[in-house]
Amino acid sequence: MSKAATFLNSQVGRKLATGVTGLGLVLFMIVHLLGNLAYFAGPEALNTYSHTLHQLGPLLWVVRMGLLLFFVYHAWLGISIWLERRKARPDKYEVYASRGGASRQSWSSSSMILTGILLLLFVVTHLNTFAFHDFDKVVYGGVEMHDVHSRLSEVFAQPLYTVYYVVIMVLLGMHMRHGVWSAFQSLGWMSRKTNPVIYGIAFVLALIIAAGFIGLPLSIFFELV
Amino acid sequence: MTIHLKIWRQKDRNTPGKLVDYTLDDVNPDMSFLEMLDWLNERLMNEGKEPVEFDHDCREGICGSCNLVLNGMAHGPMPGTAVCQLHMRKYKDGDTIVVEPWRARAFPHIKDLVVDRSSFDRIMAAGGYISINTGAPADANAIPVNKYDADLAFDYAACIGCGACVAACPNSSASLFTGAKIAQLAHLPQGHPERKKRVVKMVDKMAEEGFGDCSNYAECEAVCPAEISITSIAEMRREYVKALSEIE
Amino acid sequence: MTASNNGVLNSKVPEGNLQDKWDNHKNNLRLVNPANKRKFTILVVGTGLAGASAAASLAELGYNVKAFTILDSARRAHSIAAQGGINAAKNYPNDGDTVWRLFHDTIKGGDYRSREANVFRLAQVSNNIIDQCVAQGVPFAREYGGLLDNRSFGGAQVSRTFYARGQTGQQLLLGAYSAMMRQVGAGKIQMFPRREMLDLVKVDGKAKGIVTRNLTTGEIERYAGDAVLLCTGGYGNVYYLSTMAKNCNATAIWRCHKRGAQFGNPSFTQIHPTCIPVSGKYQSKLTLMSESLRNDGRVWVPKEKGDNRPPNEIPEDERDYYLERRYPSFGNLAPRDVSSRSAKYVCDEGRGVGKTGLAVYMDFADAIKRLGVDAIKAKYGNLFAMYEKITAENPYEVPMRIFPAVHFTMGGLWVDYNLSSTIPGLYVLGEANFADHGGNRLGASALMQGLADGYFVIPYTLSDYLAENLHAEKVGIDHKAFDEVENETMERINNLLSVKGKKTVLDFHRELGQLMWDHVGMSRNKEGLEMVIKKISELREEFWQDVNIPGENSTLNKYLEYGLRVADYMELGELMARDALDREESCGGHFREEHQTEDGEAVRDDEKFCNVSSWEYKGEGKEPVKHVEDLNFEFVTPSQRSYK
Repeated sequence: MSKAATFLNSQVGRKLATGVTGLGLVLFMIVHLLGNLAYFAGPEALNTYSHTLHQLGPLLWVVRMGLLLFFVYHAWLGISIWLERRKARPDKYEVYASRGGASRQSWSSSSMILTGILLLLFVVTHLNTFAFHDFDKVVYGGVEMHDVHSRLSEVFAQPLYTVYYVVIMVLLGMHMRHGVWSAFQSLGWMSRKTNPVIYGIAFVLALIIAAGFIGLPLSIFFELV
Repeated sequence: MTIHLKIWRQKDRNTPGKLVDYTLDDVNPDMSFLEMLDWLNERLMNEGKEPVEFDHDCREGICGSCNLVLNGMAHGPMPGTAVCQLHMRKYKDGDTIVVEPWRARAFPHIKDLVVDRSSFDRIMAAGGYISINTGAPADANAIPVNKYDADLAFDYAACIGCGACVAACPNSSASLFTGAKIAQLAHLPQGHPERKKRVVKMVDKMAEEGFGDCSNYAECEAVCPAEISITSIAEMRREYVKALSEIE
Repeated sequence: MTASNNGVLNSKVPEGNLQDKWDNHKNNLRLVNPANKRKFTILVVGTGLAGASAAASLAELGYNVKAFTILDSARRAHSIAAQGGINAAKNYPNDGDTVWRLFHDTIKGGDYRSREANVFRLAQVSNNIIDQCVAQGVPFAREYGGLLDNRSFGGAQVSRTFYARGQTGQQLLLGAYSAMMRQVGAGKIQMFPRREMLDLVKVDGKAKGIVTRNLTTGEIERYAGDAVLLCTGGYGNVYYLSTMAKNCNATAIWRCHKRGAQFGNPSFTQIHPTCIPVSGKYQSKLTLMSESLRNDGRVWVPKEKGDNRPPNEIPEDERDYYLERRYPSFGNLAPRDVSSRSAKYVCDEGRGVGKTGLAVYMDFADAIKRLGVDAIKAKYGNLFAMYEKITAENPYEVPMRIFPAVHFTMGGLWVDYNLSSTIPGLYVLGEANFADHGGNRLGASALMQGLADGYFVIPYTLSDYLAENLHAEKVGIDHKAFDEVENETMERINNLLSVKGKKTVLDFHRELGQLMWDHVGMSRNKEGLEMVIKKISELREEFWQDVNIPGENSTLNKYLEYGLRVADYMELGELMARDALDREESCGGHFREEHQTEDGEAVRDDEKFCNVSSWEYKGEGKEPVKHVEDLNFEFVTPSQRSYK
């Protein structure tokens, strides 16, 4: 095996890769969230933003492929670590409990595999709902573009979909709550002092991103914009 | 006081085990947990029954022999305490305590509450040392070590090798044990010549022995009787990345 | 009474000036060339400081080493529990320390009952030990300048103790263990965990192998070797309660004794003054509180008998600070044997404190007043926390209760200057031998001795023996000597299992321990010792008729292991009492009530007892025979210890 493959297959390498891909996805979500905010600036702003992104051409595809790669690799690592864990303890405890204290076991960290898989499924439906949708067209200043704004307004007028979306975003927040802190630990960027600080930052970041993503559909549903 | 026990009894690796109920009605609150088990064993022997096997030695919390999971927690409920230093006064009259052995593929079962932790020795043999022969090394004061690093090295060196980190980890990872040794030697100049080789060998050995991956649950730190920080795991990962050139 | 033929033992101490003896000796010891080292197999029994350091050093030299431990890992040996530190004559603090001073303090502390040449060598190699351990990555305490820190310790006027927080033994053992694991990785050491040595195999009078029980499967296993190193520690568990770990035992040395290795000064036991007192019958072992506490703690009991008031309600003038009163110059820092005995006296007078009346107070109130809580916390925080964990009392507010407990055995198998027992090829290292501490061991010197023996003595002296036996015929495990020993061992196990009596091993051990503690403990007299010899032999008889060992031989069976050990304690306990009875003097930890001054201080008899009593086993039911090694003090003059 090559050096890189050996490295990536080691227990340290696997976690490192999980952390790097995870942080990459967090970065993407920040950008995505900022894009979403354009909705509040009105249809023209959002649709123009979306149109500009599509004009990037090959670069867009590079980003898309990169994202896909990160996403799939991140998911594969998570699932394989989870499968390995089952093998590492063939006989289960009759009773198991966390000691608390320094432990980072929580709803968030204990459900990573579940929230992760649900997020994976969500992304498929999400792409179907938005990315691959046959949008209506609008024209601004002589340029024809997709009417993303109306699609959003239409989708988030449906109560069921809105609830589904909000629930998933809560799960995303939970996933990130452990994930962001964990990524720093996995990358070795941790000392006794920074540990609680980063754990706190991870919570705030997860809260902001989840709240941000939830804010838009709720605003639309309750006709606040 | 009265204590109800549910203790894992298993004759050997190939015989299925189960929890067996025992009740002791004359437990003294000043007894240590292990003394309570001695008490139970004496009673069992007087009744012509087989006593419960468990590992123990120094009973001062330093040798790392004792290894019991009490109500799902490695070494029981007290932070920074090996189970031999846990006293019955921490429990209430009438409490029920489930007692199980460490459970992990890399710690094969032997009998009742006793498991085989020799995988830890093999991780150490893979690189948990400084290659220096007995003889005439330089004077002890020839290499100054700044106090910060010396103290940190000690924090990591305090590991007693009990395996609670593995037992408590949902993934059965040995990262805290392995990381502590790597981090200790990484903070001492004496450990530097071999640091790359060391981390690669130990990390590889850890996986080979069948321990799981670390998912940063930090449960290991919470149960560690020596209160070793998971910072050691972060340090191990840094060391591993720096050692890329040594990876084959 | 015991027969005594006053046979002369050859200690093989080399000629020359004290300073030159070890060097001269090394010059004359035969060597084994590297190609031949590979042909030798050394069996190392026990993996504490002595065993681990010997195994690692010998493997590094190229010998094949097989190492055995009763525990599941070599790292758990009881050396790990030593708290205080390790002495070395480095003189880093520039306070005038020298090898001579360390030697002199150690021999004086041992009350002039140790061999000059051995103790001097110990002091000489002490410095190499520190160098070696630092090179291994042992994280000793350091000062801000990055250099090693030293502190003072009981019985010394200089700061020569190196330490690693309160866990020096642990860190030193992990250093030796890591050196050993490196050789395991290199294939030069084969580790055998969970093995208990149950007997020695001799061929033509020489040690050629051991028989062990695999503690997991019960199998009796045979191992052949060119030499056997016993590094199995002390036998304090004869007393049932001690600060020793539960698995520490005397079986290996006792079995070797029965095969012909003489036992030196068996009655020399150290009883440490500052342990946490017994709280009830269920008590399984005792926990030591570091002696360093005596730097700031004041020891006292109420002046009146049966004063049951809580300590803080007893006014100052109704307290008896008995150590300060009796030993004004050393006060609370009087040596271990003296402080322990004083505690026993006040408790015997009925002035002991706590529920059992078997404890004295160690009070930090003055120190807290003088230095502040923070200073005390910084110095002793971990010890105070440990005390509170065990007793549920807060020593910052209530004085600690302490009581003496068996802590170390200075006696052990007799060895010559080369650490060879009276059986050729059987070497004894560390606490298991009798050599270096005489009648009393000074603080921070047990770790020193274990590592000195393993790292810096045995690699030289063993080669001399092996060189002599280069052409000796190799003995394999199919030799009939192994058959015999294995059969005897199996028979002993089967006998024990077949008794199926009514009393547990614990019952017997507790009874034996109580007899030993009461009569062969801190204070001994003829009447008590004669009585106890009789009682122990009765107890032994009862043991073999009424002990109940549960389970079978073929699985892990700790009570079977324990039963075999207690059977040996009973025999050893009797020998300890015989030795104590025979030694008509008071020296170090051995205090004979018949030999004391009017105010209760020990009286040594250098005319008759400036020697080592070395006991030879003569067979079942026969009285052991005492041999004597005279101790010739050429370089120091024995003086009466005074701590007044």
